[in-house]
Amino acid sequence: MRLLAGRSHRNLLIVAVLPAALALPWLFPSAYSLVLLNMALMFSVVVLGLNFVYGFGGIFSLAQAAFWGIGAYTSALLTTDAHMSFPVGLLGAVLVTSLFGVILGVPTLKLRSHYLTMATLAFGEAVRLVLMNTERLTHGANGIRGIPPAAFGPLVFDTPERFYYLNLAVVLAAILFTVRFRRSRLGRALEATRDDELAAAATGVDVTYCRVLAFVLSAFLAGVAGSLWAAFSSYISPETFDLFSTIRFVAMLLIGGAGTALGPLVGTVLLTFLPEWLRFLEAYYMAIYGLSIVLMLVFAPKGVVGLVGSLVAGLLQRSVGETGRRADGEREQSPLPLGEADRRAGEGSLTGPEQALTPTLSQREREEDTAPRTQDSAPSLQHPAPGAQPSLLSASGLTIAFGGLVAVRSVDLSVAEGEIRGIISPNGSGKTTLLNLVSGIYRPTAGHLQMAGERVDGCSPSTRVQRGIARTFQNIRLFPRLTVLDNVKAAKYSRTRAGLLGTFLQTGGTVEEERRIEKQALEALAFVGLAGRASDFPGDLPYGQQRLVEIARALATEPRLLLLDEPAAGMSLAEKQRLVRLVRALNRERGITVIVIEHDMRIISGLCHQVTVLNFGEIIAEGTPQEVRDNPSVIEAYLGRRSRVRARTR
Amino acid sequence: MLVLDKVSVSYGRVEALHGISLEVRKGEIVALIGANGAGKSTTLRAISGVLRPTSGQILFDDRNLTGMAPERVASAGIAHVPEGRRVFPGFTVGENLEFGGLALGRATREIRQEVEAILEMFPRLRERYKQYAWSLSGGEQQMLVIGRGLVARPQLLMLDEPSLGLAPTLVDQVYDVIEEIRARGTTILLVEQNASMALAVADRGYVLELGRVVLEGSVDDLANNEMVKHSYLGTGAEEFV
Amino acid sequence: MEMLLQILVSGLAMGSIYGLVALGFVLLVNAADIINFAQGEFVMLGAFLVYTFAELWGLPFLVAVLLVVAVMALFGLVMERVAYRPLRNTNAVTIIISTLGISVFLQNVALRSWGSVPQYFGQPFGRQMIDLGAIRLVPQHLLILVVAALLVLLQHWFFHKTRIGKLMRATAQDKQTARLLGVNIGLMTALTFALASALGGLAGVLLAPTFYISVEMGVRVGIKAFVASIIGGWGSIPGAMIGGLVIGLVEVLAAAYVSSLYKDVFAFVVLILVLVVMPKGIFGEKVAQKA
Repeated sequence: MRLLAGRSHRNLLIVAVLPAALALPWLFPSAYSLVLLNMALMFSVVVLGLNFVYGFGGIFSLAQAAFWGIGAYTSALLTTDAHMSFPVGLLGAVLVTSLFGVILGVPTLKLRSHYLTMATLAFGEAVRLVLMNTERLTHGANGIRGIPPAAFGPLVFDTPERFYYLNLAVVLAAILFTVRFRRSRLGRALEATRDDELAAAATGVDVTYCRVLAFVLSAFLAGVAGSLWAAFSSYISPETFDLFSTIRFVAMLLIGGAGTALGPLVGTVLLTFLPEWLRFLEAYYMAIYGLSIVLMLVFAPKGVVGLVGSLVAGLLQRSVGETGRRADGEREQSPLPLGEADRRAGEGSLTGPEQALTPTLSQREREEDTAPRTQDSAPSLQHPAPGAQPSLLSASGLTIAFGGLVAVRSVDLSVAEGEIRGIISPNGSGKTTLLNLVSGIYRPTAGHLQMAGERVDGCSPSTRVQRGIARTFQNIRLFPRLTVLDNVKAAKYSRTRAGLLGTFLQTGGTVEEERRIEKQALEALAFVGLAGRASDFPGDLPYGQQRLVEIARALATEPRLLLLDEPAAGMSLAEKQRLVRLVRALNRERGITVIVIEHDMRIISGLCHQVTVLNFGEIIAEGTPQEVRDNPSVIEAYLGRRSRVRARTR
Repeated sequence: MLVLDKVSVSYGRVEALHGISLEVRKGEIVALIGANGAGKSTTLRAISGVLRPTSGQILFDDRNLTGMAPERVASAGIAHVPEGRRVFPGFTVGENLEFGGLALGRATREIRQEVEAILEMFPRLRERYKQYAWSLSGGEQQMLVIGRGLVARPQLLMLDEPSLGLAPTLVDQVYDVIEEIRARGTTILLVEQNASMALAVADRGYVLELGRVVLEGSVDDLANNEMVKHSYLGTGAEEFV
Repeated sequence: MEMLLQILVSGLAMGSIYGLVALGFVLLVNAADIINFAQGEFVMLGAFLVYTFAELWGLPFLVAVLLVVAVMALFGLVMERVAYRPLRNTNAVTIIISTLGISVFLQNVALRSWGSVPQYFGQPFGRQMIDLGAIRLVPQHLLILVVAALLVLLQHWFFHKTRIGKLMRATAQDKQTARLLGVNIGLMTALTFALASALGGLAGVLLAPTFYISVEMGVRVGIKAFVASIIGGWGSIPGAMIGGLVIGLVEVLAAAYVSSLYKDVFAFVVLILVLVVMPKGIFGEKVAQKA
């Protein structure tokens, strides 16, 4: 249904918009507005580039005009001083800018948010100053004159009309690429990195690669636009590529709609023509231009495309009354009609735990209910004989210190394949730190960590996902701006391989792989009973279901070892029961080894074969749940006087 | 003292509370229990003015609080201690405590006296008086935010999930403090997921489900109610096996 | 040696200006979590306003200064209403671009009102140098140092000792909690805008006699102040002042001993160095130093 709608949109685009776009040069009254239109299209390529870095990557870069300038200068110098042809100039421009993309992208691995922005700003200013001051190469403030027009062999784009078609082709290609990128493995990985870098890394996304890729793509498009710009204007000088034009590009992106495919074009055309429309204000038109930027942001904070998208979504919803994927950029509106939302919200609670979930899980639940209880159902694992099972994960002398504070002190841990291991400890006693050490978010100060016989303590989180370690987070770290399904699909990153070219050309292999990703992601969602909520956003789900989505996401990485960090926190009793059944099912049916941190002793007792107790970063006890509960030092450190309150309640 | 009459609240287009009515009498501890997403915190936010009710009335000592801004609700004598131990990290423990009375325009001397009384109650905070609040442990931070709420000398103290994320030993300490506060005569509205804890200290309770009050009564009635026993108290480990 | 001393004084004076503007940045970063790109324009506006009041209208200098502070504070309030409040629930970058819209607006209003020709404004001391034995100093530089030092003490007293100051600090740390404790956070944010704007205007008054007043002066000072606030450590008040002084000193030393042509580059070189060596700035980003 949705696919059909998408098709018909695309047909509409081709039937109606394309002829209009082709006829545009004849519709424009003056040569000047055609020049403006050409400028707008070139700017929109720059802004489409910025969209990769900011819209999808969430990196607020102030270097876009510098990339654009580098592209323009490379192309201009190659076609003037070096007497090369335009295609060589264009190629040179994209190569050099992409290289600078890498150069700027790599330091971003260390810097975060505003520091990163500052580094891009410094880079932008440095480029402008270099263009201005290295006279021998760039002709300094004089700029470069007499740049030949764009030409591919006999095809010469020397008038604004002709140039327009070249421009149009480039813009359409860039938009097409944006659309395809967004729905690809790499696009999801980049958006996941934007939404939550740590969680992205922990689901196997190569965060480093994605961020550098975002910079390279943005630099690449800026390079193309720069080359076009030089050929179109035949004269370039350094001051065109200053901070102000970068900021204008950011404004164009925001006003059009960041993270959408059409937003960059819409915003660019709007802001390029706006000053002309304001000319009647004469002296004050630029001042009003400044104010209109503020006003547009105030009235369409998600950009024009976001605004139109939510209006259309609203209309569709009213006429069809069916849930669907929301328009780009729109997050606030709930897609569900009111009654529907209520009914669905009910799924997570006590009113209808049985009928609420998909058949898969309810069925399993019913089987569980009739099946003999655990005491005798998993006897082989209840007391694994030491050394009998090969250990999947083993830590020896694992230690980490922050400054002077030792958070985990020489922990020796051995978890057998197929085991469910519980870890309990008082708050702040190092269990989440231990989990972070296993999943690779922290590197140990000392000690070893082995997964299936291989050392992993030096590996990055994403490498460990490849080795089969997956995790969930204590404070739920889903990707808020991706749908539930895309959250899970993002986790297929480490098990798939589609690259940029395959994505752009939609090669058979890529399409096939994408189909497989979709199928497996839906399976993972069905396993936790949430297939019906695939197209919702995580924020629309009740708390308990969000935790289940995290588990589905972890399962999509095809793990051998699953780390659950307080999976039951904030769950109702019914949800906790369902969680216990689910974890048991994935342990038994899929053979996944589980390490679970939990405060709720009932879950620990009901689920775990073995329990490890930490206190102040050290292991103080280990054994079956019952042994641990009876251990005096555990009672002292952990269980406390809880029984007193219990007694009063009864 | 506090009366909610058919209060409804919406987030955007989704209604989260559907006509909640409840009452807190002077000197009581009233517990709101329910699963996550049942509307407990939303109820507190509606009372303290962070959320504006779409319908219904909130009365406090016969004053109409409906739709009043949070800062004015605070001056009316209601202290809301939100969940998540929201200390001011860049203030010292002392500054945090004083702040409880500062925005209400209390005299400095009055605030000092109140802070002194709180320090009597929480000797641990006196030891940490000059430390920055970010350097405290989770349990200490919880004590600090409760103490800060008390410095305002509220007639009604609203506590949102004071035990969330604390180890059992610390939960015990927090509940000792709650009992002590009641002994001083402050009325308390307590939101908890940890139902057994809440019912252990409260006088009366309300059970919320999906934005509605589904059950109310004395704690003894609630603790012996089959539904509450089954859904919120659990009957021990065997429940999961 | 005398030469160096002279250079140091002028560097510290320029640095104090950057520091004051950076302080405005930091206040808004803390209170509203935004980067205000119009902060430099406040400086430009302050300079043009004092020129208008004292030179064109002939008001006494002190009256003109007070008037500038009042007008700028008022402008800060208006800006909060127009360009921040309606957007405060969107993301930070949107608000940054909105402040940029204000910056474009102010530049063009200034261009229309005062023209593109730079103006000279000499009050209160003119351009007379004073001789102190072997060294000659610009009195305006001394004034800048004294006023900046006073302002730093004043803001410290204001934020740590007064009730309003503490309310503003609490708002900067945690708006929702401050609100529940009875703080009118909308008012606090508006006051912060007024304060940042007035500080910028005052910096403009101090800066006016050292250069010509021009429409572009805001951008120049604004970028350096921005760099200063990063060097000092994001959100750190002492860091803003220190960062400003560092930039001021580096600039004059580089101009005197390396190359005056590349003097603007050095601010960015220092920035990159600081980001590489101390990725969190001189004062780091510890919450404790915030507000």
